[in-house]
Amino acid sequence: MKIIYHCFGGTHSSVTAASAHLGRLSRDRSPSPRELLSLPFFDTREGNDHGDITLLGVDSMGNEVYFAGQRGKPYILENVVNGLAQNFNLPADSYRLVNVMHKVNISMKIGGFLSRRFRWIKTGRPLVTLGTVWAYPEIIKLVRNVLAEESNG
Amino acid sequence: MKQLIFYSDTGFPFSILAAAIRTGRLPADRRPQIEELASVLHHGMGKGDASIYSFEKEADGEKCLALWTHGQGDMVQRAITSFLGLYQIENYTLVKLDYEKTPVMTVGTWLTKLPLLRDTGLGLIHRSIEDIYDGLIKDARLIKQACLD
Repeated sequence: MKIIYHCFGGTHSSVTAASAHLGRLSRDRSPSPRELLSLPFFDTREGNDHGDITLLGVDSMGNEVYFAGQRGKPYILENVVNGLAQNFNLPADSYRLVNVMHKVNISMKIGGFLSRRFRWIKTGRPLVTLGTVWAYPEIIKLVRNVLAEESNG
Repeated sequence: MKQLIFYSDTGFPFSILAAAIRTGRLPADRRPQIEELASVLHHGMGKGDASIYSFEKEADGEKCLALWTHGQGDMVQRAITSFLGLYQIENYTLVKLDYEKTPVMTVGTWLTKLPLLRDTGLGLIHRSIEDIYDGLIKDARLIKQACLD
């Protein structure tokens, strides 16, 4: 199974969710800002990476875990992926799209926008990192649901 | 043979028209009648939400795909290539069409949403499509050769 976490820029909530899925972040407590900033791809992806479905790792069940940015248009990514799967005869149960965007809070939105769009990294990065710490309990709920459904097969 | 994927991101289903020309639903040797155009656009108008439409040529069963969006062309192309790459699928050709949506097409599209003015809207779209139709045919022929390579 290919599990694809996606969010607006593919660099904050989806990277966090995918990392938590892979056990690179604790699932029992919120991470520290330093832990988030040490994650590969956290607050580093650019606009010209959007749409690119990137492998982050393989989980303990053998699922490949990916993340992607969709510019706030999840239906585009979903329609492309589902349409291609249907027309190239790829099994519908061989992949799964997980939208993390609705777990994003206002601090993440503003901080992410400042850091990625305006490149005001000194202002935006701490804001989006703190926002991610605050949003983590909600993100981890989503990840737990995905893990539970995958382990139930 | 490679699977052909037509794509346009200029807010009008040019990709649908190209796929229709290639598979014989629109003529490749003359400009289309308004009814022919209407029958294809009815299939492909959609909302430009990247839904993928499949076209099949009756003569030899060749299939091609078409999708269109309002902008986001770079992101959609990356999504297509990276998703197919996850499955090591390489036997496809992605063809991006860069025809611009004209103001007349915009007005025509709006009018087709009003039952009483639908025919007027189709007429405006038809007139605009006629201007680029030869180019669409030419593209389809060049692409046909590329896919056989």
